[in-house]
Amino acid sequence: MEIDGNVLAAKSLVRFGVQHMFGVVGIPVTSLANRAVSLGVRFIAFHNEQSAGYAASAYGYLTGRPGVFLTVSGPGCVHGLAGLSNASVNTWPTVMISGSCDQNDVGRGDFQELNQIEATKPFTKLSVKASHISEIPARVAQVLDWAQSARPGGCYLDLPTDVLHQKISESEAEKLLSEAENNRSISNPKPEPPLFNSKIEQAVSLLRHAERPLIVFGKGAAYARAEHVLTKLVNSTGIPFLPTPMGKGILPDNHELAATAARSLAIGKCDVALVVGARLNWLLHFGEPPKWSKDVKFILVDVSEEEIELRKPHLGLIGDAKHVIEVLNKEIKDDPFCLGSTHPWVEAISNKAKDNVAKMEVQLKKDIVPFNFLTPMRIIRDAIAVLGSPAPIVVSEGANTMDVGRSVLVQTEPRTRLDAGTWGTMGVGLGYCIAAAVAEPGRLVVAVEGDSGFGFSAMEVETLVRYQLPVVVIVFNNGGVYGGDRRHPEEIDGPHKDDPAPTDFVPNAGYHALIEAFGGKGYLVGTPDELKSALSESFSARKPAVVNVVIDPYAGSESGRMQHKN
Amino acid sequence: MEIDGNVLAAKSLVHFGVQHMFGVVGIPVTSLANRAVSLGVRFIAFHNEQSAGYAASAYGYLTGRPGVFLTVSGPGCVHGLAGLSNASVNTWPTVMISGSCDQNDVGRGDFQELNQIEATKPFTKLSVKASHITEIPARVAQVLDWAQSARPGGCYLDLPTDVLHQKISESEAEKLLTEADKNRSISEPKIERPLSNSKIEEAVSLLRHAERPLIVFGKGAAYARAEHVLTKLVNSTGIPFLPTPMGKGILPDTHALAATAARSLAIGKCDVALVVGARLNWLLHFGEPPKWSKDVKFILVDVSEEEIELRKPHLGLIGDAKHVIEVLNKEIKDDPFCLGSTHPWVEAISNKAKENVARMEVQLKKDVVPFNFLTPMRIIRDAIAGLGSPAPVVVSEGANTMDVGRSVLVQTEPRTRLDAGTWGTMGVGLGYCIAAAVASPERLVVAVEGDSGFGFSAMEVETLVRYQLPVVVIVFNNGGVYGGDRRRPEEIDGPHKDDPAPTDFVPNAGYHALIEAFGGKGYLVGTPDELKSALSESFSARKPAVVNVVIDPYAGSESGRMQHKN
Repeated sequence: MEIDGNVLAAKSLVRFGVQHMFGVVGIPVTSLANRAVSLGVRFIAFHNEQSAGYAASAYGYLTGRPGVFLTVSGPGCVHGLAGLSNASVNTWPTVMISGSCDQNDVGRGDFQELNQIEATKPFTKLSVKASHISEIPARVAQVLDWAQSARPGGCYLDLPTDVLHQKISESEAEKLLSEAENNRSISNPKPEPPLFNSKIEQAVSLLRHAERPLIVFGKGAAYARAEHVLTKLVNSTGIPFLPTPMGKGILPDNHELAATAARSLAIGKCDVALVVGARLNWLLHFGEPPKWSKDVKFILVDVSEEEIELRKPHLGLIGDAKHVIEVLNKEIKDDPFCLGSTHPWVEAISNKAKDNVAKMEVQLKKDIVPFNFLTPMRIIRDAIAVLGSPAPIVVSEGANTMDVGRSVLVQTEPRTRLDAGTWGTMGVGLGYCIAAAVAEPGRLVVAVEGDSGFGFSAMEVETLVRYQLPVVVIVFNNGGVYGGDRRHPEEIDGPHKDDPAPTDFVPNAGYHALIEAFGGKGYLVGTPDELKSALSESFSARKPAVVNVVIDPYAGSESGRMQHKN
Repeated sequence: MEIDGNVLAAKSLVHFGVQHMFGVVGIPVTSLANRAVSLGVRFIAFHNEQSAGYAASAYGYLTGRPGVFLTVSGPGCVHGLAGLSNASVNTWPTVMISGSCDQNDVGRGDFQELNQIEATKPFTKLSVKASHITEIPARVAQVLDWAQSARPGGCYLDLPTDVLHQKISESEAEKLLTEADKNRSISEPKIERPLSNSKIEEAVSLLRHAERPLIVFGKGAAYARAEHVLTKLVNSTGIPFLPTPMGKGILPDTHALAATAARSLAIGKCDVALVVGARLNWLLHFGEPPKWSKDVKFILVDVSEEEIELRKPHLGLIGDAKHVIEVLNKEIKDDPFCLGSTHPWVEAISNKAKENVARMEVQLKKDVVPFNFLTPMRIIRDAIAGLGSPAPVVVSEGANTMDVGRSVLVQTEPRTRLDAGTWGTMGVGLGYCIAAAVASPERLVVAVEGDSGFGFSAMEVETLVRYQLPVVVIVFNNGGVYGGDRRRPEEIDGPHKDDPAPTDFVPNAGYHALIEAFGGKGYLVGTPDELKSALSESFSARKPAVVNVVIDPYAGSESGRMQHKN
């Protein structure tokens, strides 16, 4: 009995633990997808490889296992570069597998021909090709292992058409699979590099003696599943914490030590900052004045030595966040300390946070119609809170929508917020929703989307319906990128000045009707009662839905908080 | 008076002749788009840079001038790689301009940071950056010129945020623009490289003495606007011709010498093939047996010396197709020859073509309901024929839909067919429609899309409505990629066997409702009368419309003509 390359690739994926795949079928990979399904993989077929790639990257983050997506050759591979690059920038384990043209025809202009190894290299940790059917198992194992080792990221596996059609005996295939399994680097786990005792002691000493310590954690800590050890650290030391947007939920946003609502004070005045699984990049103002004090001593915990070298912190602790914090906790336990709620720094942050929350709550309490961003966001927050645990995964994308959402929406569980991430990526919305629903079938998925962000991947509402995924997509419809026409008078000139502005969409866009076209549920809402009713019904139904929330086009500001860059 | 980099970039584009731009606005390029509009550019804003890039590439093909598209940094640039790569593979002049992060923050993890020069290089002829505001005019001129010189293709211009915000005096700007203008390589009239007289004589001699000559032309000849000289060549010599899919219309498909319907005979038996602006790639079976006779003598006319070196033809004529054929025509005129309709070869092709057309017509005449591919395709063909001249631009995308369309649909004017092209690209549909409507505003645009192809860019129906473009999108709805579930029994297994197949879409997908969501016109049709009525109404209205044509899911075959590769 012989099998072909498609079957062997599918067997390899299953053998090495792949349970889900995302992708778009077509020449030459349809058979591979079909075989993967028959061998036990749940394959989620998308309309565009761009969204499939984003889904795979988010899946890698949520599960800690490589998100795998499949594309056709050439243009399909190029569409998939979005997911690969997003994975690499966010450091999420992701594998793209693409068909490629017959090796005998390379250079002659074959169907969808592209040097996919070269094309993917700027975006991957590793790009490899199986040049012969006998290489398939080892290559599959290799990309899966590389994707999740050290600093996770995107990897690429190239499967030429001729290799997919080659034949091999079942017994030989089994032998190759066993060999590849035995040689897996992931099966022989690299021991965690030893943390220097002196560095651990120094870190604890810095925290102990700090007048104004702060713990910052990001999605790297969520990825490392460091929530329990961080909870222990915060609770035992009484040090205030500040999550990055996707770090929210590692400790509940409503935790009494949360500094989120006193962010400027926390980062502006702290003297020691323990930064766990978060990079001092644009999201944290590069760790520099004027946002941070010039004298702050950073203790960086990062899996990447390169990252720590780049930032040149006061102290760098290289390693898996969960492991490092565990060791810190042990060190602290030997000689405990705790600031307590009456500590001046803790009190200052707490008071400022309460003050800001109270101010925000005054605005949130108002029912503003036509809607601004705050009123519907409050209603969404409250609808989510009512659901209890397991909390839904919130996917957020947009300028104003995402910024307001980050402030208002409350995360209480780890890995329950997916947003534009490290790269500020627009276009991730529906892909992330699908990944979340597939990776965490026990949770509802609630997407809070700007209409521009939604537009990138809107067609995937059909995918939601096809697989009957429990996803509610809430679209803040303000008529365009940043809403209404915000051009300066001198920018409204020329023969095309009556064209829609480059930021405009059509008035009264029926985003809810898109999902109805495919048999899903759509809601058009413009008042608090309508929105509450839509959310109550759709959250209960646990079926695909789109809620089109009509917003005042002039609510919010151009580019949200990034206005100065535009 | 000072202007910033955004204004200078916009002024440069206008100064160097750019009339249209495509793109997606956002940080840091919104101002650039607004300024371009106020200075006279028509900016078409898309939902996704993937479609915007495809639009720009098609615009470059249709107009012969670079199609320019604008993206944001990082992920926006990556989305745009689709258009750049498509442009390069099809050899269409295209320029991508992307913002990029502040040069001072490179390497530190800035918002949407990416080394866009490196990321674009695998896909471009040239990737350059303006490192300072004073470089903007020269760089804009450079990418525009490179995109359309020699073998056209994709070029990339990187505009960092800090450069866009730099200021310069208006007088200095004017000086820089003038200097860049003077230094333009495109301003110098293209001096056609001299064609060797002996080669021209040899080419004519080969054609004159051939027993079974054939002229093949492709989209390169359409791009070169060689229709008049090719018409003269064919009509004066009486040599049968065979267009590639996008070469259709250079001479009308209805021409007495068209060998399209006798393709196998024409390429299988010809002894001399003059191939103009078409590559011997997969579309022409690499010019090899068994499709071609092993003894055929190829005369290749190509603008690229590299291409001719690659193919090693009997005779290569390097140069612009229009120019080369003009010279050939002069040579022939000195000593004319003509095969005449009674020539055995001409008669054989004509008879075979008539026979095949008659056979096809028998199938086409039947009104098969539920629809197969032929019945609606005939109705579309006849509706288009009813429009007369100027003929609409037909955009086609899909497997079965595109293959059947290539056979049935009739092109009578050059550059009136846009399809998956050299690369077999899926995802081009709506982008190409928008480009065609913008580039050729006097022509209706009719898209004949498979539902899978349509799904890639379906959200851009909103863009059609927003700009009220005269585009009718006909979606062949057969329920999935290749239609119904075509898996073999052993492929329907495993715990997820009841999931939709990887090739499935939802039943009764309401593609017509998508455009209705945005205020456009939608039609759902399943019978000949319904389709005729929808086409008659929508063609007359000259407004955006989607016609959802419900097809038997089991009509057609898996992968169309490429089944053996899947």
